[in-house]
Amino acid sequence: MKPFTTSRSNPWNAEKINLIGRRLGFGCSLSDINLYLKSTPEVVIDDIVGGASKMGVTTAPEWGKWDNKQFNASGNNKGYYHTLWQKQTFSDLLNNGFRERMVLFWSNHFVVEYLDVNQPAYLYQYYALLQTHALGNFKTLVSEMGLAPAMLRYLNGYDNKKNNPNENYGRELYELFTLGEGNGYTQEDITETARALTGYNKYKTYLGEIEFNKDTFDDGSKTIFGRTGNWGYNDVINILFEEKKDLIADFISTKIYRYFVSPQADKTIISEMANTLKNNDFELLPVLKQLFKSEHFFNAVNSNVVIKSPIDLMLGLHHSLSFEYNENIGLELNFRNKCRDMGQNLFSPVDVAGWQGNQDWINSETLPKRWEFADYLLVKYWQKNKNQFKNLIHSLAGKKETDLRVIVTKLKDFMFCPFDIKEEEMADAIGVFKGEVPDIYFEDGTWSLNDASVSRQVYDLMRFLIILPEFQLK
Amino acid sequence: MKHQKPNELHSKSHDREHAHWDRRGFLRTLGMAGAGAISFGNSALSVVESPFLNQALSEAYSDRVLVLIRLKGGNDGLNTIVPLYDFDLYANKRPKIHIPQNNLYKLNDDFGIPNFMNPIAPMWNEGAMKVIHGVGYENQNLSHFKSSEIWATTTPDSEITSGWMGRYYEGKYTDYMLNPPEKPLAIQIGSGGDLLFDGDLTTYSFSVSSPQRLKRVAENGTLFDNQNNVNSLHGNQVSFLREASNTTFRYASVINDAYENSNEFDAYTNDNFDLQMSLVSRFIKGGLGTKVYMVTLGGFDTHANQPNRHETLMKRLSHAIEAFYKDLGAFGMADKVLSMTFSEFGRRVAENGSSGTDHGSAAPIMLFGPALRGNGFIGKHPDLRTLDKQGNMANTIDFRSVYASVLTDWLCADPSEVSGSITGSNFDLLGLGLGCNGSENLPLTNDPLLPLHAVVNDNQGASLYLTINETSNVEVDIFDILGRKVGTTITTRLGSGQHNMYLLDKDKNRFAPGQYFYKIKVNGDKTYSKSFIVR
Repeated sequence: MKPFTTSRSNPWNAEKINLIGRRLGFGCSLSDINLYLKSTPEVVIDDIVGGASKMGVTTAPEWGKWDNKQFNASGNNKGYYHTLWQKQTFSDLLNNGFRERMVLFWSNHFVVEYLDVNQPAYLYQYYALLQTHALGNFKTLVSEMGLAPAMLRYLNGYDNKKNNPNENYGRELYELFTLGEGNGYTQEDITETARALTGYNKYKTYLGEIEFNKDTFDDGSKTIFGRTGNWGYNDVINILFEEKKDLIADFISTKIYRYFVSPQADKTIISEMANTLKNNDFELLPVLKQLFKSEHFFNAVNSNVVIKSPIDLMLGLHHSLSFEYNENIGLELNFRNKCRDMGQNLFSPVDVAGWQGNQDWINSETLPKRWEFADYLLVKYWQKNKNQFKNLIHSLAGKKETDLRVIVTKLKDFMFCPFDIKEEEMADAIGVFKGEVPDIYFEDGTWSLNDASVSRQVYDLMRFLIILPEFQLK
Repeated sequence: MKHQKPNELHSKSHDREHAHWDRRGFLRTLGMAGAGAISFGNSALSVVESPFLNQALSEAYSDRVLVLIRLKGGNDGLNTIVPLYDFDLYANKRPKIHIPQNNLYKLNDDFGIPNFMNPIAPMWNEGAMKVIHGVGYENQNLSHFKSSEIWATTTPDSEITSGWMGRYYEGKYTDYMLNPPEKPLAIQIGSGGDLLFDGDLTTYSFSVSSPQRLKRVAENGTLFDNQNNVNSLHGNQVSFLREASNTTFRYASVINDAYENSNEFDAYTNDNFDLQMSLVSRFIKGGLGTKVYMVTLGGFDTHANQPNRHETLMKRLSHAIEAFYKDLGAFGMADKVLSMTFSEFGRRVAENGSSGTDHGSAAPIMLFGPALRGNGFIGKHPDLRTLDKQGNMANTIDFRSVYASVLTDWLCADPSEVSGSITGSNFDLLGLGLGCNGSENLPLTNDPLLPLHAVVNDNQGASLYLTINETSNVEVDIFDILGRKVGTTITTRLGSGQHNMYLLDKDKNRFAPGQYFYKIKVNGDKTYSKSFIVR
């Protein structure tokens, strides 16, 4: 994969930094952009990805290891703790950037639906597991995930016993987590795998720690991917990664590519990613760095081709503007609620395959909500401090610019998309920006960006821009 | 919602318009030209404009509605329609989770429903419910996602990303993109991301849950131009978003009008599924005119603790259906609405170790609505004794046959529309007997003397519908599949216009179900022949 190098025809610029900010994190502010402009792409990626890999796990809550009895005795219902942890997660998403981007990615890969888990401590443990291995080793992550109590409950590993196998987890381990539907396994492999995964059926205390119970482990011979033996949990993972190395590397590279680069898979790049993964024993850091430093990643054809998730939409707008916000409801709770209403309720994807993302985010119900909720944020900024709108346009365009098209273009490019928008919409945008200011003031030089009306003009323009289809892309 | 390269959109649909000129566009052109007859190239297709046909297309049966009820996750058919005829085996395979005999409501001697589904028992008794046995497909895929996709696209071929309803609409409304209908063709409530209504060009359904919100946005928003977009992935995404915005705007206000025009019926609870059914009812009662709705009830993936979970789900389903038909009945629309359940697969015959069931294969489909005019079972229950190596039953009816039958017998689609919609496997028509009166599925012929004729089944037997343009002597004979003449020749003199004559009277003639032919001789000269099926 050819690394990106700056040149006169392909410079290091705000557009590329915005791409990094939106894809790897959740948007970046004007001051982030200005800071990174002084650096090089290589240093910036090392800083973001390397920094994320060294980040510690979010401090465990006091209830992080509680069992059912302790929750019942606590005086709060379980829903209270669930909400608490969703809020904590939004706080992490707002503060931690790329590491939480990876956590979000993995939580949509190794899906659990909270309503089925219904144990807040399990949710916390699952979350801590994702944070720990988000940028670690994929095989380790797979291996530990299958024993996470949240997963044991969600995909019935807990119910999978000798003589009474439940193949739910065995199937999804292959279909959704490592190989892909119908790709390199048979129904017999699933049946046999389910037998090998038996034994994790014992609560130390009810809904507390889940222990291995050798009495419910199927102690017989199993044949998985053609290999026969008295296999147990670790053997399944080892055999899978030994026998299906190529398929796994290809499957997971494709998923990473589609998520971070483009919904249109590039087979060549993906096969290079897969090789890097295999050459590094499924360590994630090398392949991620390679991808994000590549010329391909920054190629303009891959820019603004991914439809924002609700979280991208809300956090991205919030980060990029970095405005003060009128906090009558806490930001985290507010974001949790709004994203849920737009179809992204954290830890409750639509089904075990996770949110499919891209065009699936959009329908005639969610699209109006996207408009409404982005608008809602702008209203809250406006209520808090009107001057910040004027200050932003000064930072982007200076105080002396009088060409309305230039001013509108600068704000548009910063807020979403460096591509040209349609002329009629540009004309509308300019019309909106003119607002109540009489036309003659623009012609005779009366109007300037210092005018008292400018805050309102910028605010109105933003409210128009977020309705344009281009705002939905990153 | 899907998109071709946007700059191909216009030209492609334009080409299609000529390639597959549909009757709707065809008649509109006729109307504009005011011509008596028109012919196309060497297709020898010509027709005399008939007031009857125009009227049929614009009015007849346009108030029929189909409600598709998706039971997401794989509904356990054996605990929904319980096989009493093989009860011991059923109970033995499911020691923990079978429905005990004393908790069953018997539909007949062979089949029962669990008592917790009792709200729908009156519908069965009043002849407003039918069950199609053993619906599935060959080589059952046990993945939720792949199997749901197969049910939507009707083929295991992953390259095909359009759904059966999407293709039906695409074939029927070839000028959809240029000339979109004023009301949504279909409305989908609940889950998005389903391929069912996707065509190759666009999605033909509208997703909604809160009409008031939509209306507010519609009043404040802007409509986007979607021509001349940049041809790139970015351009395609923008085009997709523009189209999504436009769809939202196009229908938001008509949906709101329908909602405001109708009243709430008090039998529904706050349950999410009740809410879906009550919204569908409001749209129907409010005169929206949308013909197909899809609602979703999720949670059927009962790998563990099935008895409680399944009971809860079936109670919700039964209650909502009961309320829905009471609601429509009180409004006088119940016989215009047919509902049909479906699910990506049934569940394994034997229970698993967690009081649940793993992914299975064939399962029954339930049909609801007084239009069914009688209860009953269609097809044969799958054999519980002959299972595949996973322990799953073999389907007895292909789901594509169900779709084709609903399209033909309820939406009155013509055979070319049905074959355009259903792909992946051959299908049979099941004979639901829903009495499309033939007006919408009369094929065009090249003879101005006798342009239109078709046979349809109805309650009593089969009737021939024909329209002729000049007063003529008409003889009709019926033959069985071996060419033997059946019954007596009908000889009559008919004036120009539409006619409806009994071919077979079930009580009198006691014809065996099967395939027959009719031959029509006009003025002792021209003969027309076609096959039909007696059910």
